[in-house]
Amino acid sequence: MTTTPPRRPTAADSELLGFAQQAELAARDLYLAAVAAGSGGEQTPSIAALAAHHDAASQSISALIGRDAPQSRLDSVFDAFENAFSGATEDLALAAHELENTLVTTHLSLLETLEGTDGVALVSSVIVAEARHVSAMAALAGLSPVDDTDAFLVTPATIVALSPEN
Amino acid sequence: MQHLSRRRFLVAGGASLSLGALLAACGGGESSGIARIGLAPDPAELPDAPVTDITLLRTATSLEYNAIFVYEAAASAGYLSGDAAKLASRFLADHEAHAQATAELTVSAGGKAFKEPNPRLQSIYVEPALGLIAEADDPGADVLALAYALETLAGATYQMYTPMLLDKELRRAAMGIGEQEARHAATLGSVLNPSRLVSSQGLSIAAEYREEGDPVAFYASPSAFGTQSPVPVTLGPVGEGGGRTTVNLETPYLNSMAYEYLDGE
Repeated sequence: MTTTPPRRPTAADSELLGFAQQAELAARDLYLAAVAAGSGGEQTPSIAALAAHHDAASQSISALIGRDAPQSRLDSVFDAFENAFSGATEDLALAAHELENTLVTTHLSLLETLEGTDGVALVSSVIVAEARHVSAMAALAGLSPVDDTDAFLVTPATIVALSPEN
Repeated sequence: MQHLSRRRFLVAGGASLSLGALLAACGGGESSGIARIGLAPDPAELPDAPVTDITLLRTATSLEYNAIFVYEAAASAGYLSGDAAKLASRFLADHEAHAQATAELTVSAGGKAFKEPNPRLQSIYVEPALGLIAEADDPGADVLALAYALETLAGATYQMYTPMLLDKELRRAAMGIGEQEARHAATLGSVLNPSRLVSSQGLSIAAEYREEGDPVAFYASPSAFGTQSPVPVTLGPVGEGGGRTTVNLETPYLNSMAYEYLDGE
């Protein structure tokens, strides 16, 4: 028999959502680094907006789990992408494309585990936004929606979800 | 206009009650013990319509069929050509795959798949929108605008339904489709508004990065979160007043779900 799930995050949910917040803060800091380096070219305002998107996601997670929110970025993610985000526009766009696909995959994996529906609702809304980021970054990279359609629409098989263990 | 005061209402009510009591007293045959005027049919019972995982999956499938209908109609009418037609053809194939996936999930969950367009969305959004497009000065541009709105709506629908699903495995499967719908919308946004991929509306960012003027209709990324608001789309010819018709698309909710009892109608 299926039981009605709780609304509020459980203790295990808070741990997972805290991890998600760290990933969001790493993304925010990467886009801020790109803005500082001028990597976005003519689309620098869009890059600044993406930093704000990830900051908003982080803040919403913080509001949901309160003191359990770590408020610190995932350094392994930041370090892995930092150079590309500070390089040429195409390098930034392709790295951001990979990062956003990774975040979408990570958040999708959380949906199988989270118990509380408030957390599921928040993560679902972040997935929609970050899936759109993927397509935006494909466009910024100069890819064609007609000739490179999968880059806009499909997560590559090589993308692996982040997890607290790796 | 005639106003009925509380005093007159009480007087009139008393008169009706007295007449009713008289008729009841004169009536013959078996009595239920309750005074009654005339014969009234028993009210029809409302169907039992719980919103289950099966209902949500069936509704998702029906929405996929709405999208399939739109892309097929646009192709039949020849509204799109070149790259736009190629992109629409890919989106159509994706929606066919999504419809099959949600139908299979419905059956796996113990239900019967709903393999036709959502009737309410078809009548209040799709058919009027296609009617407007048929009269538009630039039907191709309007089809792309409608597609952008429909894809945004589809992503929003999966986003709304995911926390309502009780089976956690279904949540991931549903949102895995929803995020693809969001990418459809974003891809169209990047084509329709390539100069500004991400909107600054509602964001706390430095003034130099904010857009000037009103927000436009299309962005690859319009907001920090997936929307649950109505999705507006402006379509059709310019009217006598100089304006065009705006249709607000809303996610299918309680009055437009593909409930299982609909199969018996």
